[in-house]
Amino acid sequence: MKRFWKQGIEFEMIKIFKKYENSIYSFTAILLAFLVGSILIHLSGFSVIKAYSALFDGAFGNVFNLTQTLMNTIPLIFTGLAVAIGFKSGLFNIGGEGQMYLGAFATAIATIYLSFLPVYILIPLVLIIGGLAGSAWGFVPGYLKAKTGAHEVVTTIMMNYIGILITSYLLLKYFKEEGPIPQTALIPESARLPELVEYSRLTWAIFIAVFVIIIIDIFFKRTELGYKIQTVGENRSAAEYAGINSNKMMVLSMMISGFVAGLAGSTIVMGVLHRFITNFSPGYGFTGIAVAVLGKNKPWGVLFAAILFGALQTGGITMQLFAKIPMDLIVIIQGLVILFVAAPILIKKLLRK
Amino acid sequence: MNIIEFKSIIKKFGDFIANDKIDLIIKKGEIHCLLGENGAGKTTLMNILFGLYKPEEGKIFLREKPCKINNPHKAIELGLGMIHQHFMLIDRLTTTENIIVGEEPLKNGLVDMKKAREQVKQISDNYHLAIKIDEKIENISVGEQQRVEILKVLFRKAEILIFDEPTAVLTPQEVNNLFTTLRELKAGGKTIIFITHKLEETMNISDRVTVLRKGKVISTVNTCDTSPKKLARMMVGREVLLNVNKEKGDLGDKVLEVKDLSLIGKHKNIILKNINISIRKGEIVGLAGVSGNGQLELEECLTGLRKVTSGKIILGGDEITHTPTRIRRKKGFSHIPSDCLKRGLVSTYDLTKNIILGNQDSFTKNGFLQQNDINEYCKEVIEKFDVRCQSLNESVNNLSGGNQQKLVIGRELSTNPKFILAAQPTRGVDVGAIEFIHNNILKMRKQKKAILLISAELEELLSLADRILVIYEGKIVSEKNNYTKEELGLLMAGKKASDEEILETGNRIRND
Amino acid sequence: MKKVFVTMLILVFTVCVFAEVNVAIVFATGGLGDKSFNDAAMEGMKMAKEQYAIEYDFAEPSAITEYETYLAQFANSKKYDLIISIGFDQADALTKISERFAEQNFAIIDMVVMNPNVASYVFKEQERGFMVGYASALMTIKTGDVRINEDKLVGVIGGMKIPLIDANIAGFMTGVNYADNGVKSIHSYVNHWADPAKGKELTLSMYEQGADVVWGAAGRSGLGVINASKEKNFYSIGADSDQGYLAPENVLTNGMKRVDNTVKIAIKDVIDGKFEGKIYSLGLKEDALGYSLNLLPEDVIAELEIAKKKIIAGEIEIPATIEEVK
Repeated sequence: MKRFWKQGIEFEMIKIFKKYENSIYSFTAILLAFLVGSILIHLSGFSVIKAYSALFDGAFGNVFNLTQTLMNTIPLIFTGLAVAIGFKSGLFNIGGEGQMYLGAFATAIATIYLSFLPVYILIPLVLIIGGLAGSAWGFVPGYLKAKTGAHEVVTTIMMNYIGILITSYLLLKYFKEEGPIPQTALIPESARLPELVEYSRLTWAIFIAVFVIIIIDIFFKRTELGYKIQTVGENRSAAEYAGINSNKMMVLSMMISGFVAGLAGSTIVMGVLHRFITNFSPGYGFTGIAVAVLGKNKPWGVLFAAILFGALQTGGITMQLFAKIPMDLIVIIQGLVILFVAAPILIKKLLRK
Repeated sequence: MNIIEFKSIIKKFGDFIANDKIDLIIKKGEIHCLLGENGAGKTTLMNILFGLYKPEEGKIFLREKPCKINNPHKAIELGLGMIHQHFMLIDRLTTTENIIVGEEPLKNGLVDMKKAREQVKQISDNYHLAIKIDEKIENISVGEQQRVEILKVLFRKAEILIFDEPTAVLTPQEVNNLFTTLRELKAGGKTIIFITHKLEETMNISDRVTVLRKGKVISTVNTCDTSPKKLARMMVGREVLLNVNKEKGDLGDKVLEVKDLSLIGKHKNIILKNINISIRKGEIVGLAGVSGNGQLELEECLTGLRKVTSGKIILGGDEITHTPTRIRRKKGFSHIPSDCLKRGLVSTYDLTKNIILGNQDSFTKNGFLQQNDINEYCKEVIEKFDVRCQSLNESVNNLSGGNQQKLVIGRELSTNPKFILAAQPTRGVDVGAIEFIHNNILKMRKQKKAILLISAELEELLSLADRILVIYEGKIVSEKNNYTKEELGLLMAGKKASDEEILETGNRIRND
Repeated sequence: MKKVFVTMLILVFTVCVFAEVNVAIVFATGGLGDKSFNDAAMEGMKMAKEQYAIEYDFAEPSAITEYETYLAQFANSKKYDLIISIGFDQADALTKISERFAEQNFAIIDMVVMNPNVASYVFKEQERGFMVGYASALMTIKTGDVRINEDKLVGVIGGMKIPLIDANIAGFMTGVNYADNGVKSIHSYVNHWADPAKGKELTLSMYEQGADVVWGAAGRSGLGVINASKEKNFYSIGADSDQGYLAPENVLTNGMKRVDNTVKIAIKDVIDGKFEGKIYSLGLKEDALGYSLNLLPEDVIAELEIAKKKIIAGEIEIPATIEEVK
C-alpha cells in the first residue's frame, strides 16, 4: 500500500506545496484542534469567542502577557529539541524530564559553590555544568541501549523517576535551605540571568534557547557527526554498512539530547526560580515530546511548536481566570493538536479531496 | 473473448504522464506479459485497473462491457486479483488466517476456522499450491508466502490474476514452481497478467507480450513470433548487447584472501564452513548460489558487519578479520550490497547525502561537511554513472530502482578501491541498466581491481567472471573457470554434477 | 433640588456600604480536590461569600513557576481587595509580586512574607499538638477496647525536624504530661513529607514498643501512620484536615488546621478595614486550630474542652520547642 501512496503523493503534489508540506500539515492540525476545541467549548456552555479571545489576549494581548508566553516557551524549546535530537538517531528520548531535573540541580548547586567567579565565566560555566548533568543522565539509557539493547523508552522513563527522586534526596540530605520548603538557597544575584522586561522573568535565556536551536540546526545540516547520527536514525543497516559505529552514535545522540534537556533545567534555575525546588516542573520534559512531534523534529519547527504550547499555557491562565473556562480545555486542545499531527494520513486525505 | 480492454487510458501525476493513451486487449485464458523498464507505466496501468488510481481519460471494458472501477473492493467483486511484489501478509497470523482475512466464513457470528481450513485446503489442492495451512507467515519461505498471496486472491474467486514482478523475490527453483502454478491456473481457465522487466521470463511464460516504454504501448506481439533481442530493443528503444565482451587480462598479486572462514549461528548451526577464496588484481571471481546458502552472511563477514567464528580475511596483505567496517573501507574495500534498499541507501536522504555515505570523512574539514566539494563530486559520479535525476537535492526515493542501483554502484566504484564486493549488483534492475552495470564492472577489472561477484544469475556469472565458485549450504562445492549453464544450475541446486544429470537438466531447461 | 441631592447621597452611601468585596485566591499546586489545604481554603471562600457577600475568583497553578504569573495577573487587574496565597511554597513568588504591586493587599497562609502589604497568617502549632497529645494520654489508659493495649505509651511522628513540626511535637508532649497519669510519649521523624512507606515503618516500630495511639504530623507521610493503625488495629491521629475517611475505625481524632476559618478571618479583616501587613499567630482561640470528634469518647471530649478553655484563657503554657518541655 505504501508504494501507491508514495507514487500518488509524490507525483500529485505541486512542488511548492511539497516544500512547505510539513508546515501545512502542522498548521492544518492546529486549526482542526481549535475547531474541535470550539465545539467542546460550545457544548460545555461557554462562549467560543470569549474563550479564544481570552486565550489570545492572555498569550499575546500585552507586553507582559507576551513575556509570560515566551517565558513558558523557553523550557519547551529545550525539551522539544532534546526529543528531536533523540529522534534523529532513531531513539525516543522520554527522559527529558529527568535530564532537566539533573540539569537544574547541578546548576543550582554549582552556582552556589562557584559564586566567587566573575559573571562572564560563572554563567557559561554553570550552564555547561547543567548540560553535562543532563548529558550524564542521557548517557545511561544510550549506553544500555548500545550494550544490551534495552529499549530506550523503558529506560528513559525509569531514569525520569530516578532523576527526580535522586535530586530530591540529595537536596534534602545536603543542600536544603532552612525552612519547611524542600529547596536550595537562592543562587547569588550574579548568576541570575538578567530580565528583559522588569518583573517578567523573561530573561536572556530566550537568546540562549535560540542560539542552541541554531547550533543544533547547523550540527545536523553541516557537520559530519550530525550526518552520521542522522544516518543511524534513518537507516541503521545502511549506517553500519557505511562503517558508522551506530552504537557510538546512539550514545552520543542521547548525550547531546540530555545536554539540551539539562539546559532547560539550568535556565529555569538561573532565570525563573533562582533556586532548585523539588517538583518544580509541570512536565516540561513530557510536553517536549509533543513539541517535537508538532515541530516535525526540525530545530526551527521546535521553536514554533514551543511558542504555540507556551502561548496555550499562558493564554490558558487568562482564560481560566477571567473567562472562567477550565484549564482542562487547554490540555484538550494540546492533545488534539498532537492527535491531528500524529494522524497526518487523515489530514493528507482531507487535503487531497 | 476480450476479457479486458483498455481504451486510450491517460494518467498524469502533475506534469508527468505515466500512461499515455494506452490501448490494450487482454484475452480470456491467456498469460499476458506487460514488459517494460522501471517507470514505463506498467504498475500504474494495473493500479488503474485495480481501482487504486483514477485515469484522467479513457475507458476500461471488462468482459466486453464498459465498467467503472473506483476502488479495490469493486475490482475484487469483478473478479480481479492482484499479487503484489511486496507481500501484504500479516506475519503473526497463520497462512489460513491471512487467506481468509476480511472474507471469513462465519458461524454464529464467529469465524468458522474449520470451514475456513477446508476451503483453503480445497483451493490449494485444486491448483497444486502446497502450503502449510496452520503455519505462521513469519515461519514460511518467500515462495510459500507468494503461494499464500495467490490463494488469497483465488479465495476471493478471482478470474483475472495480476502479478506485479512476482519473480523478483524468488530463487530460481521457486521461479520454476511459480511458472508451473501459472500454467495450471491458465489450464483452469484463469487469465493472467504478468508484469515484468525480465526478457527470459517473458519468453518462457507468456502467450502474448505488450511492451511499454515511457508510458506508451510500443507493441503487442505473440511470444512465439518474437525474440529476447527484439523485445529488448522495443523496451529500451535501442540495440542492447545482451552478452558482454570480455578481454583476457593478466592477473596481478593477490588482493583478497579468505582462509578457512567459518561461521556458526546462534543455534550452533553451521552457516559457513571453511570458505577459501583468493582474488587477484584484475580478476573477477564469481560466487554462484541460490540465495539463502550463506552468501549474505559471507558478504557481511567480509564487510565486517558480522563477526566470523574462525578463519582469516586478508586484504592487500593486512589481516582485517577483526577490523571494523570503517577501517576496511579506508583500506580500499568497496561494497555493493545485495540489499541495496536496506543497506545501500538512506531512502529519506537526497542524492548527495547518499553519494557520500561511507566516505563522508573525505569531505569533512574541522568536523564540517564541505558542501561545495560534495556537490562537485556528486555531479561527477552522477554523470559518470548515468544516474538520471532532476537535481542533486531530490530524494533518492524519487529515483527508479535502476537509477538507485547505479547510484550505489557509482558511489562504490568512484572511491578508487582495491577490492570490490559486488553482491547481486543487477537484482531488480532492467535490461538497459544491467548492460551499463556489467560494463562498469568490467571496466574495473581492466583497471586491475579485484572483484568478488556474488550472484544468482547464471548468465551474469558466466559472462563476467574469470572463475566461479559455487556455494551450497555454506560450503564451496565447486570451483572452475568454465562451466556450462546446465552444470552451474545443477551445482547451485546442490547436485553432484554427474554427466547423466547434466544432460537431464539441460533438457529440462531447454524445454522450459 | 435638595431632595435629589439627598437621594443621590443616600444612593452613593448605599453603594459604598454594599460595595462588593472582591477576593482572589491562588491555591497550592495540588489543586482542588486535595482533601487538604486547597479544599479547606475553598470552603472558607464559600463561607465568606455566604456570610459577607463577597465575590471571589480562584486559580489552580500546576507548577511552582506559575505562582508568580497568577499572582501578577490578579494584581495587575486591580480588581481585588485581597489576594490570598495558599501554601508555604508561594513565599518566593509573593515576596516579588507584593513588592511590585505595593498598593495591593495580600495574605499568605501558613508562611511569613515580611512586606507591609502582606498579612501572614501562621499557627500556634503547639496548641493543636497539646490537644491531640492530651487526647492520646487519656485514651491509652482505657480498658475494654481491642485497639488499646496495656502499655502506657503514645507516639508522634514528625515529617521533618523543623521548628514548625517540633512545635507540634512539643505541644503533644506537653499534652501527655498534662494528663499526669503515668503515660509516656515517644517521637521520631520521617525526614520526608511524602514517604508513606517510611511513615508506616516508623509507626509499626512504635507499635511494637507498645504505643497504641500514634499521631502523624508528617504531610503525606502521615498516610502511612493511618495505614499502619488500620493494618494492626490500633489508634492513629490525622493532621490538618479530617482524615477519618481513610480508616473510620482507627482514626481517633485529627489535629485540625482550620484553613477555612483562617481564610474567613483574613477576609473579615479586609472587610472591617483592619488589614495590616503583619504576622498573625492564630490558634484555638480563633478556631484556626482544633481537633475533630471522630472516635473520641464523651468523657475525653469533656476533658479536652476544659483544657481548651484554659489554653485560651492563658492558664496553660505550652512551649514551642522540645527542649523547653519539662
